Formats: sequence, C-alpha cells, structure tokens
Amino acid sequence: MTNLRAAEFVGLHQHGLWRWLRTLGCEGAVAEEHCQDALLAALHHGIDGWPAADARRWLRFAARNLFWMQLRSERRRPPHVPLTGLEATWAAIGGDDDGGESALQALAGCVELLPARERSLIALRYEQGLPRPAIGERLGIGDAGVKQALRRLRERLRRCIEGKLGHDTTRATR
Amino acid sequence: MNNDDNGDPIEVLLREHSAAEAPPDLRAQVLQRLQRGDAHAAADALRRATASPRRPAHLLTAAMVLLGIAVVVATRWLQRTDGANEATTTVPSPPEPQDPQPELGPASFELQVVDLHGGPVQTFVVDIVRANDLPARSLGKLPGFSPRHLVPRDFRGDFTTLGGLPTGRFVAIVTADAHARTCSAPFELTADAPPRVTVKLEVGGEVRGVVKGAQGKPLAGARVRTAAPPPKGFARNSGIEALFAQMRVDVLTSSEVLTDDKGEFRLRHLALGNYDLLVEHRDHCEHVQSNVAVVSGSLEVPDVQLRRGARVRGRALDGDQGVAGVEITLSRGDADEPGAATAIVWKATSDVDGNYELPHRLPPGRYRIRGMVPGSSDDPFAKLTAMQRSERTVELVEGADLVTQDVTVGKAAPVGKDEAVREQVREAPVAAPTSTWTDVAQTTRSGNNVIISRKDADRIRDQSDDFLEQITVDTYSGRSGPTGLIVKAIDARLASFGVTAGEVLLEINGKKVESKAQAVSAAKSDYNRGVRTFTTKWLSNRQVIERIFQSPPDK
Repeated sequence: MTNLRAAEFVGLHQHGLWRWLRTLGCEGAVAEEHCQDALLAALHHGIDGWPAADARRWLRFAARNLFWMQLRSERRRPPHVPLTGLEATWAAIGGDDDGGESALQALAGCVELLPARERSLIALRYEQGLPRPAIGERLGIGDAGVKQALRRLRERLRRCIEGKLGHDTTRATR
Repeated sequence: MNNDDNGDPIEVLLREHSAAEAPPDLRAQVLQRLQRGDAHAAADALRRATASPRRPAHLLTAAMVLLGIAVVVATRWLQRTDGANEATTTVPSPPEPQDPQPELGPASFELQVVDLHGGPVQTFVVDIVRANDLPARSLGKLPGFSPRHLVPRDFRGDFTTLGGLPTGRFVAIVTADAHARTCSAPFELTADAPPRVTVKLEVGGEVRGVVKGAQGKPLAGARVRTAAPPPKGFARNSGIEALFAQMRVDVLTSSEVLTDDKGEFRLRHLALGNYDLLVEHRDHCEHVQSNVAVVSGSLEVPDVQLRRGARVRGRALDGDQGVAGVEITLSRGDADEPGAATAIVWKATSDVDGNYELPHRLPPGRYRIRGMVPGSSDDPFAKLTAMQRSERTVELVEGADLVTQDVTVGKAAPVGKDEAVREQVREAPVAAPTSTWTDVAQTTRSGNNVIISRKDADRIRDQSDDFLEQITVDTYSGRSGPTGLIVKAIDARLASFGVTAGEVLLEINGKKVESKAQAVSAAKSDYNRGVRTFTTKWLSNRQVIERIFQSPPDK
C-alpha cells in the first residue's frame, strides 16, 4: 500500500466519519482519535480496496463500536439515540454517499431561505455558542421555547436538505 | 454537544456551517501512525470493541480461563511428581534476544537515553557508527551492525547493554519519537570495562511553509519530505547518488508530511543541518528546495509554487516491437539551465508491451532520455554505449500536458551523437535512422513518416525557390524558450507533406533552426553529404512531435 493511496483513502472518508461520530454525540477531540483508529484498522484490513460506499459503511460501524467501547470503559452509557432512525437520517442526507459534503452545501442554500428570526437563532446558537437561557433572553422567550424553536429549525432544515438532495427520510426509514 | 442535540446530523452540519467547528484533516497523523506500525494495534482495538460485551460471555470466558489454568497447574504438578528423582530446579528463563546479531567483537557499552528534561526514554532505534579520525570528525558505517530497536524490557534500570561490538571509537545515533535524530559524543570501546554512554535527545528544528498549485491556490495533499542533499555535482536519484547514500551515515532526520487544506505543512523534530525539501503532488511537477538550513526553532520557508508540467510516456522499441523491462532514464538536457545543479534523474521501467510512463510530471525544458535493457550485456562499456545510442532529446514546452516519446533500444537504435560527429568528419553519408524510401508516384504520408516522391524531390532540389514560395514562415520564440520557424501559411498542394499552418519547425536532423535561411542551409548541407532521411521536430498542438521525411536515393 502506498502512502499516496492511504492518504487518498483517509482524505475520502475522514470528514464523513468525523461527522458521524459527532452525530452520535462523541466529543470533537475524541472523535478525531476514533476516526484515526477506524481508518488505521480499515487500512490494516485492506478496506481501502473496497467500493467507497461499502468502505464508508464499514468505517461507520467500526467508529461507532470504538466510541461505544470507550464509553463502556468510562462506565458511561451510550447516548440514548435510536440507532435505526439515526442511520436512516444519516442516509437521507447522503451521509453514506459522500459523508455529508453535499448536505453541507445544500444547508448553506437552505439557511439563506430562512426568515430573519431563525437566521438570528442560528447565529446566536451556533456562531456565538450562547446557551439556551441567554438566547431566550435575547429573543424574549423561555428556555423551553428556545429548545422547541431549535428543534423546529433543525427539522425544517432537514426537510429542505432532503428536498435539495432528492432524498426522503420517511421512505428511507421504512 | 448537549444531550438533547445527540442523534441529529443537522446539528453537526449547522455547527460546521457556522464555522463553530470543522472536521479535522487527519491524513498526516494517520500516515505517521501507519508508518509507526499502529495499524495492527488499531485493528486489535477494533476487534475488542466489536466483540460483544454481554456479561454471560464474560463469565463464560472467565470460567474457561480458570479451567485452563487449573488444568495446566495440575499437569505440571503431576509431571513434577513423576520426575521427583530428577533435579528440577526452576531458573528464570533468560530474556529472549530481541535483535540477534552476529558478534563483531568483544566490546560492549551501556547506553542510557534521556529526553530534554532528563526523563528516561526506553523505546528508540540506535545505530552504532565509527567515529573516524580521517577525514576529521567523519562517521563511517559499521559493517555487520544493523540498527537495533530497543524497548523497555531491554533495560535493566536506566541502562541497556549493547554488546558484541568491535573495539574502537564510536558514536551512537538515536532515533526516538517526538525527537530529532541525536548523536552521542564519541566514545571509546575496549575489551575491558564497558563505558556508560548517555544520550540526551534533542528536540531539533522545525520547517513550515505553504505549498501552492499551478494556479497559485493552496494545495492540499502534497507530500513534503526531507532528504539529505545529493553529493555536490551529482543529480538526485542518479546511480552515483544511490552509491553515496549506501555509504553515507544518516545523521539527518527523514520526515514527511502531507499538506492540509490550507496547503500548509510542518515538519518537526528535524536534526539540525542542511536539507533538501522535496515536494510531490501527482498533478504537479516535483519540486526540490535545496539547502534548507534547519536551526533550532521554527523556520518558515518561502511559499512553494508547484508547476503543472507534462506527463511523459511512450514505448521502448526494438524496431517495431515493444521491449519489456527497459529502464528509461530522463535527465536535464542542459547543464547550464537554472536548477540543473539540483537536477533530478527520473526513471521508469517499460511494461510487458514496452510502454512506460514517468512517475512524475516534468517542468518545461530540454531533457535527455535514454533506455537500457537490463542484462543485455555483461560489459558495462557496451551497456553505456547502448544507452548512449538510444539517447534522444525531448523538449517539453509550456502548456503541454502529455508528451509521447518512444525510445529505441537494441540493434535498431539510431546513430548517437558521437557517431554522427565521426560520420561528419569522414564526410560519409549518414545512415538512415528508421524508415526507407519506396518508389511512390506522389508524395505519401503515413503517420509521421513522409515518403517524398522522386518528382517532388527533383522539384525541391532544382526549383527550390518556387517550392519555398509555397510556404510562408516566420521566426518563432516561445514563452518558455523554444525557438523555431512557424508556418504561417502553406499551399494546399503540399498537404501530403503533413505540415499545417501554425506548426513550428524546431530541428532538422538534430540541428536547431531559427530562421528560414538556417533551415534551408541545414537541409542542403545534409543533402549534399548524401543524407536522404530528414528527421524533423515540430511543435504541434503544444506537443513536440517528430516527422521523418524520406527523400529518394540518387539514381
């Protein structure tokens, strides 16, 4: 295996794998480590010779197991997330196709279409990283209101992204 | 990430979109770990992670292990009882030799390696080299000794013993993670008491910079590595350089990284000294930054802008047949060209059909290409002569993407430069290199071979002015240097000669032409010496092509 080939393999899968781990609730720095380990294990097993989609699924499975093992060793429970639904959402936004690259591009277009209030919600929450109570104060709503607004916002964006990508989560879930 | 946010990839994308976080570029780290041999450990960790953690399985495993231990203990006890008359002293088994090496002598020494703060370092590779008096302070390889990889179990306390060494004056070179390659002070080995040597690892220097592509944008995924400069006056990758590399003691650090998304690279823990910095990317030419002096601290090198260059491929031929296994060598054509002092020799080997392609793209310029058939002769002089006979010149022009250049090896190799000179001295006709003339009614073109009819040949010879009036030419000077004669217009009656408007005539039988008078003079001179084959080089569609005009022999 040449370095160039290994580098290509890593370059192709690293971002998608990292996003998947973050989706599972893995912290950023830890996600980096699990990504590295999963990619190294894949190179060890010759997964780099597989079709990209199969390799992506293998890596996703490997990274999830590494993350769960880490949680077990720390006597923590895996985040309570229904995995089937999560995998379906991941597939619906093209996570298994390109690791979420096209979804990220579609998201930029979707954010532009949002009303000003929701765009400011994104700015406060994700750009400035404010906690929910602080956002609530700025927007004049309660904590629960912010939580619900964020959930609605994400749902709206998910539908928009799926529309742009031509996927249907409902169908995928079934 | 908050708990109520888990399970939503949109959340992750939103953070990325808002530049709150971004996926890391892990290529350099993964490649480094891959080279360190971490892949096996990662696969092992994954295997453990994938195994089901369910409690009953754990209990079953534990029970099986306990049972196994019980069986082993019982068996041993029974064996001991049966052999009670035998002396059964239990002695601790000696540590397994980690790195068996032939005994080179009776001397040994104790080695301790510490980091910058004096802490013990017990995982490293150590090489022992001779400290020569002549040339002063030079180092020489110790024949029969190969570098030893030491791990903590090789140590007793702070020291490890390296034995089986000859007597003399030596230096230990230590290579450890996160440190620069470090040399010990010279020490003397005798057959008496082993000396104690302590090596304090150095952090070394750092080189950082930015690699840009041909368009001037940062280039991700370019491989940047350090290398010792080749001996003065010799090209990188040449046979001489390889010979020197075998003899040279490596005190510089070999390191490589890939550039990140911003085109940035950082090579850390480099032993202080002069390096060549080699930058490679598959869509660009290789770049060598020479004499990068690494000192303590961080050194920022000027931005490296790679050139797009051209791919070079072709066939190794013996007559019309492709020849497999031919070693194709390409080197800079002119010694006085800028960069020739740090020139590289590029090599490729032809496949079963005789096809070859050089592994790197090459910048515009003039190159010499040669072919050598391995094992064709035991006589090195004959080999050299055969290589010289196969030598051709390749001109890569700015903007060319692919250049095809065949190399003729074996019996059918064209007459080389030296022989052509000798032929000139004797004023004898030069042999036709490849094609032969056949009697045709009209000038006929087949690929890049043009057979000139006797009628046209007579007209060119006897009414050259009329013939030349049918072609309008002008002097051409390319941006990257090639000069020649550009065809502005050509009469349709000369279509069978294969020349079209816009093409540039560069050479006639190896002689450069830059004006109409030069072209006529070169052709006439050869013709009067009996030459009937005119090998011409043209710049056509940004590629240099060869066109052979075969004139009829004298009646």
